[in-house]
Amino acid sequence: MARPGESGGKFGGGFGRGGGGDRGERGDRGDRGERGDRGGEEGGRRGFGRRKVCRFCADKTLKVDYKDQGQLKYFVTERGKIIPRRISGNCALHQREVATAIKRARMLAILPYTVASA
Amino acid sequence: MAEAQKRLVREYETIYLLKAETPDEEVDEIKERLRAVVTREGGKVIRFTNQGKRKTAFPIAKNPKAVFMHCLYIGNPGLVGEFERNLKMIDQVTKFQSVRLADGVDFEARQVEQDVKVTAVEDEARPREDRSEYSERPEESFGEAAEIGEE
Repeated sequence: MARPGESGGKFGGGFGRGGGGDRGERGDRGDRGERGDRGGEEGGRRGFGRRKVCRFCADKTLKVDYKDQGQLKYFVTERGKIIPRRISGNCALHQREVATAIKRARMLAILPYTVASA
Repeated sequence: MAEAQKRLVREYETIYLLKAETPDEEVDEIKERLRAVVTREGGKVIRFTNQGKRKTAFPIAKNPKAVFMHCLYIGNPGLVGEFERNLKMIDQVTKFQSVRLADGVDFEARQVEQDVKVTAVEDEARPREDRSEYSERPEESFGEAAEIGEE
């Protein structure tokens, strides 16, 4: 008698645990969903900003120059990464030129490859 | 066929970095040596620019500073290889990079200019507020991504 009872108890416990686990999972999913939404909001906020114009297109006299550290700094994060087009607002042509210029400047130690401490 | 006689060459620029402790005389010596190389190879140096001793973005040859030299010249494609080969042989040169600027430059029409010496711009404080517009946002989003990745 003791055995079936025990087993039954285990069974029930198993179910219970299973249920709890399920709920836990759902909770996780919910969390993830929320996080995803937050991410979405951020994406939306990014979209709110005014549409940036390519500064090289706006000012035809401006040339991308890999020797000009001051100019290239605008297109590099503090970490030394190249700022993407969706944020810098460059057109494809000029973003390409800027990227090449940054890479050239890096080779000449005008710009850093990485900045170790943040 | 006057046009056929026009000698069309390419315009190149090379930036080379010298060790920071290089004395001025040696800088000039290297300059003249390179000028001789360009002339020997049938090219023409437009101008040398001494951009002075500047801080580099990362230490080069265990030195945080280097002398930046800029050389603008015209010549045939083979010239660049010879120029760079000579740079490699000079011990004071730590880094160099050549870039083609233009094609089909008229050899005679391009005038030789005076050598320029620019005084080194010691890292003056650049306006930071202009940058924040670009630099803050990506950092933010990268931080967010990192957080998700950790969990």
